[in-house]
Amino acid sequence: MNLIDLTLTEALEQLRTKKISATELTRAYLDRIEKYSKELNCYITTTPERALADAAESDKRYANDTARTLEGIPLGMKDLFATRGIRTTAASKMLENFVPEYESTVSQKLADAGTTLLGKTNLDEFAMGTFSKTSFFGAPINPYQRTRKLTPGGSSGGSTSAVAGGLALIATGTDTGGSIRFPSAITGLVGMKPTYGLCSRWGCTAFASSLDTMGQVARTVDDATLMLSVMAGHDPKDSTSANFDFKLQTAPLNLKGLKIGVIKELSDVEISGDMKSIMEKRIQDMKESGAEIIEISIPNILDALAAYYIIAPAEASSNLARYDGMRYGLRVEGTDLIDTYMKTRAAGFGEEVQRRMIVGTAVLSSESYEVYFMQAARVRRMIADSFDAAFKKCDFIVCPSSSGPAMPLDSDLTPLEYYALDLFTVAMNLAGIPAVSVPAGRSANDLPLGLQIIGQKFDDARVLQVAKHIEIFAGLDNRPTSVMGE
Amino acid sequence: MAFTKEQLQKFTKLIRIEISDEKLAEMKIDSIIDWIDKLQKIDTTGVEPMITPATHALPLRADVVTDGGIRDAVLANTPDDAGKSRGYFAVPKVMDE
Repeated sequence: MNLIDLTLTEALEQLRTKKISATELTRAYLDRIEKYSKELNCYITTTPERALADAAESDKRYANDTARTLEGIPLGMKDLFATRGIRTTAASKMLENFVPEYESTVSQKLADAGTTLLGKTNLDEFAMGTFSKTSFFGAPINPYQRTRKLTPGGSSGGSTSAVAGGLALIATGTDTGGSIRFPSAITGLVGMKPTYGLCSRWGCTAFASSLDTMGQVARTVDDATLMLSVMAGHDPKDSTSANFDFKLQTAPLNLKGLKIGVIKELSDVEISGDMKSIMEKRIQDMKESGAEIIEISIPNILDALAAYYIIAPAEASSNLARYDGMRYGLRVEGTDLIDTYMKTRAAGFGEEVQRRMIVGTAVLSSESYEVYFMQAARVRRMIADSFDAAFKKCDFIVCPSSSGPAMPLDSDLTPLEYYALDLFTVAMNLAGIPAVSVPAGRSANDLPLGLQIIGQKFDDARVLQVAKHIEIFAGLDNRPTSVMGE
Repeated sequence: MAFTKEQLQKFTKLIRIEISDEKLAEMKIDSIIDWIDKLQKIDTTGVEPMITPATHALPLRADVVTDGGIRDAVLANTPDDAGKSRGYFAVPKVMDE
């Protein structure tokens, strides 16, 4: 079997039983990066020397029985997580040459668990986008039917492109409005937005702080579960980080007697015929396994998108004020200080980032603060309360991850059409609840589609266990060599 | 509520981004504002605004200094090296002679 096709769980087993070495595994990934990363454009920076040094350390630890949880596992790190001594760009010209002197908490935890760092994955600039094409470094490509140049989604599109194509075994992502779940769904992967507060945000470039959630991209639910167990945990450096002990749970959760909710209001949303039939099939599978399917109502869920596109830009316009060209990042000299700010920020930020900052400033301005920002915050409360009420009637909720499969990168959509792609994902960010996208089927043109399992706050482990049933029902092959060849 | 071109230009000045009227028009900010206007129709009387999704206990730490003495690290990425060796950021002049 090709080393690239091993899942995280399988690779750890082979490493522990010394059938393979961490160095061999890492080299297999580096070879594949050499072969495909230019075409897929999934990495902004690769770190082969660091990877081989990490792998050598892992081999030592396997030899002297001090192996850690993810010892020797090749990892891609979304280029939004600060990595000490390694350029961290947020896919922006503003940070093109920024080399942090500090390490984000999540990347530190993954390093401390023994992972091998392959590089920093591509994304939408400051994680703002759904196709990863707002990246200053160009868009990554979906490994499925790659000659068609489909999007791997966004904003964590470099991570999903890398994992789906076998250029990383696992990868980190960040999800502010769907940026892990949407790209994972259309690349046949498991991608999770955990409960807000479960994983530390510290050291990760801020976009919208009340929505930003650090999460994981993997090929199987078991892999995603193990990865989350390493990433989760309280961090004194993030004031919203919860003191919650995430318990690794891999024993299957019986569907019998569980109540699974289907959101009434989403049934009117136009989705592809494929997505609809796959949703119906998987619901039928769950029924046959003893789950009770009930209809629930989130009355304002279709307003979540507009509320999100007020709150997220508002928070972003404030968070991105720090890029002033004075202490780090790009500086373009002007005639005086103000002119230097104006020129620096005009040159450093791409169009979508500028657009969102203007919208964010507009909705926060004194004349519109009540009308837009506070109204959105009230709608947000109504949506969160509706989820609370729904979870009194059901244990989990299931819904599509997207309306359809991956689209061509050169699709010419208006800003609003791009925003609409977040329709199925933003409400969970507003509410702060966990949701995982899991491969659920294939479209007629053989592209992956996903379903989301949504749960109550801090019920992340069980959310993953329910998702595991969908994974088994769908039974899809997402081995990188079948996705895009040897 | 629609914003005039002057209002939008005011916002770009507030966020310190130099942008031409032409480019600003191309950005279709209006279409986004029109669309988010639909939230106005929702009756939110008596609803408490939600600013954070965190409902868990937010642990506090003691109000003490926890780091410092990392001047070189703080200055490491400065775009202008002129002040670096002397321990400060060099910035454009802000006062007249």
